[in-house]
Amino acid sequence: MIQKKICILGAAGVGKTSLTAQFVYSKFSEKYLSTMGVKIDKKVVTVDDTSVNLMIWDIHGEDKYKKITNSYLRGSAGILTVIDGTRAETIQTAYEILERVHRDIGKIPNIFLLNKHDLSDAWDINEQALAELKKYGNPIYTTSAKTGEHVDSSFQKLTKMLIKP
Amino acid sequence: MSNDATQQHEEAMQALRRLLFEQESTRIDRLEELLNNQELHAQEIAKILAEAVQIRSRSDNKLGQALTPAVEEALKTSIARNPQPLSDALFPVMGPAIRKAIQSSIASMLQSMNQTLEHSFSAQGLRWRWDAIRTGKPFAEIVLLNTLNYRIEQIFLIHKETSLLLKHIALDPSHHEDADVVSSMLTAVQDFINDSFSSSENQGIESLRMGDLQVLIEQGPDVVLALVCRGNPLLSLRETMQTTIEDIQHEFHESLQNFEGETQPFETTDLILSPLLVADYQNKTKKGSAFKPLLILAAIMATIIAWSAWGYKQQAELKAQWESYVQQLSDEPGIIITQFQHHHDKYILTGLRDPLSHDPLDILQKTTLPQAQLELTLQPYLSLEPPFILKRATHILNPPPSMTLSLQGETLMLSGQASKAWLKQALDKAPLIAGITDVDTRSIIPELSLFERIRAVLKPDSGIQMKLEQDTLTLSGKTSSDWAKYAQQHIQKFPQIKQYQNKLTLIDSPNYVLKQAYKALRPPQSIRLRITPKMKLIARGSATDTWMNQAKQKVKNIAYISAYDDQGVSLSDDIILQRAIKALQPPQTVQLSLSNQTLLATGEAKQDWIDIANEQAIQLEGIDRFDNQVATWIDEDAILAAAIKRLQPPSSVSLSFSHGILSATGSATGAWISQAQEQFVLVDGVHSFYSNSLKNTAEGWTDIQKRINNINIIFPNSIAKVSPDIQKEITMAAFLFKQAQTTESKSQLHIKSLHSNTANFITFLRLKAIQKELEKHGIASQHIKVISYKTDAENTSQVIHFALEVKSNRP
Repeated sequence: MIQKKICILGAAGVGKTSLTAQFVYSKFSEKYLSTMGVKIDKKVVTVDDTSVNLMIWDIHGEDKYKKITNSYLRGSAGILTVIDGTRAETIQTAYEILERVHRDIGKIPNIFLLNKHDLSDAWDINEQALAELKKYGNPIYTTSAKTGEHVDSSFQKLTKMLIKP
Repeated sequence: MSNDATQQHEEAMQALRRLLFEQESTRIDRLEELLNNQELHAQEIAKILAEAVQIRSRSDNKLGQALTPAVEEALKTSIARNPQPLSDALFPVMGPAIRKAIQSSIASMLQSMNQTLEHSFSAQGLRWRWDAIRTGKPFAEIVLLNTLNYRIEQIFLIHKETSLLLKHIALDPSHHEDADVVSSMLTAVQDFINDSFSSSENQGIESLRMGDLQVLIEQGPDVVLALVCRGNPLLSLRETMQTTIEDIQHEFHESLQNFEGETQPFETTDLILSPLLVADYQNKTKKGSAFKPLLILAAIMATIIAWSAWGYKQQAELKAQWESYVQQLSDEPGIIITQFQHHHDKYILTGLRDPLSHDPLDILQKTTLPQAQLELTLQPYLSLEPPFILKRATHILNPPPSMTLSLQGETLMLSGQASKAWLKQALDKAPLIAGITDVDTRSIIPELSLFERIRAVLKPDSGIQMKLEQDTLTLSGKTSSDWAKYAQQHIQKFPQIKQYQNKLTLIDSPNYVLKQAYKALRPPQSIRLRITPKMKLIARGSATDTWMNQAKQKVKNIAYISAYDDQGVSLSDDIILQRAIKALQPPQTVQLSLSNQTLLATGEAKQDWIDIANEQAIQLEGIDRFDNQVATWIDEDAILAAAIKRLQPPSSVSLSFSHGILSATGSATGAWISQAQEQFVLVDGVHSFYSNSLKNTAEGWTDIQKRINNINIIFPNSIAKVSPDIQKEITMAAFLFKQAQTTESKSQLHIKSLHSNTANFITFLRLKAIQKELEKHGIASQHIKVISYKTDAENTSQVIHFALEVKSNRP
């Protein structure tokens, strides 16, 4: 079976661990527990009759005090860059992380996840910000770790990008 | 052409072809046969099949993949048809393999049984049994834990770059489930530790320990090998791991280099990895224990001897250190050691000591010797060694800093400046000091006055005034801050000066330099100068070009200014205004002024000038905003001329134009006034007509008569109806007649018509219609006279004339 390492990245508190938990265990918890270092999960995803064992590295959220280290990203075949849809400022962190990945690891497949889409009242991403995001040319999914919206499909999409670049 | 001739020609051609292309034709025939004959085709392929298979197998494994289904099917068919040939073929391989597997299993079982039996009935065995009951673990496991040196339970082969698991082997297959997560986590932990302690990437973790479990990790260029081990493995296991990594690196080099997540090629690594699944049990054979007490005794004896030797050595070293200390004291001037004894733990020193010599305890503290062991009995005495005599004299006489003491034999030599008082007490006391018999004062210089001494020390410039009044010193004048500081410090050395008044002007102080700058540069009031602590002169505000240029030159001559900054100086308003006037060239009707970088324009000007000014003003240096309040200037003369042309005022009327208002003065007829009021709007630039000052004068009766007499009405043929044009003429006639009546009450309006014989009736209707219209304008019928003349001419019937007459009293 093909194995692929993917990393799930983004600012602190955007919902990376929740998205991983929803994808791997179909569970969601309202409790917030900050990830220290890295948490690794796996799930077998089948795309077009090809089974891929995804090793999902859920890496701690980045903030000004705690940057993501390159060693965790090494050997990664693709990334999911998560943005908190209710906090527009997390887009900037996503850009910074992505630029660093491109610089240090190379241009590997990436998908932007605009998470917390269930909180439509607090949605903070306007058309202009979305247009800026589209300039990267990477797929963009609105997701909700709570309702499971587009969680499976985004991981499926990334897997497809990994095996059929 | 006949058939015979054609046949002959064809035969000739064939003969020619045979001659030219016989060889090529034969080859083509053979090639056609080769392509069309399947049997021959198979024969050709058979010739090269073996070589082709070899070549393809060397390049990649696709041939094997392609043949796998066919081979599997062939084997199935062969076994189904007759299993004997295959079992015969495999017998030599299968037999030994089965035997080996059975032997291995039996050996393992026997070993386990041996261990269990061995420990079941011994005292140790009973204790382990008790442990098994107490902990609830199987007895065999307790035996294993106590007899095991180490055992490798799991092997992880991990791809170093991606941390993905290439191969996992476990003693217990149930451990297999999360092997890939464990593999990733091992790498993550390693990365975490590397990052946390900033160690090199090549220096990975070598082992992790959790209780009796240990993970041994070895790094290769592309792979990481991790063994989960229970117990304490032999050091040689590391070497084995390295060798295994080398083998894998060598054998799977290509697969590792091209690894993109496919682990299939590494399935066969178990052949290399499996030998690492080893276990090592405690060796039962033990050496006899009879030697053990002897060994212990020998060890105790050796310890006692070593301890004694060490103690003796320590004592010897300590004694040597004390002797060295005594020697040090003996060498010290002013100290005489007469006796040194070692009694029990104490070292007793007896002797003499000059009080001015070094303290023996201070010297002791520089060594490692314990003060508690020292008993010091030193009697005081006065040393007559020259250094001590001089030291003693200095101590007793306390000479001022300007004095120098020296010794020549037993004579104390005094040199330098000293006060009389000090000299007197020195001469009194010196002979009483031990070792001094005489005092030489020949080198003493009489002391200067306090004022002179201060002047000698301070060395003030000629510009400094010094004043000493009792105990107060005053310094004034101009000087540098360095000298002022110097003076302040040195004045303190004169204890006689109780008060110091500093009236010095510091020529290098920022304030002084700033004042100098103001004097030199003479800035206008709009300029403010300031100076930084680093003596940078900064000018802010606005000034003329001339001042700015002069300031730049003059500032170079001001002492102590390190730099000059006039970037904050802008041009003064006057200059900017002058430049604006020069650039914009406003007409005399426009006034320009400048305030807060805003150029204000008021007055009147042509629109062209206003447009150009709007564009150019803000481009001028020093102008941020242009407040254009200039009204558009109007050519009033031209408008007045146009109004005169259109309104045609009589000579009695004077027209004037100003600010859009057309004013008329003098006198005019009501008719002209009415006309003017209707028509002034047609003159461009005039928005109102002021005629209140105009006197309304009636026209002369004769003038009116002339105008009425000129009114003729022409009806179209056979028409008696009053058209709008005819009505307009009638209205004018009525208006003029009314005016005539105001001058001449007996005025009468005549309506005259010439009519032919045939048109008498229609003329009558026309006259009636006119009369009726006039009555509508308020002209009574008694003021109208209708006159009709008969004529022979046919064409005159259409015209009706008006005339003004004075009513005759005649019948």
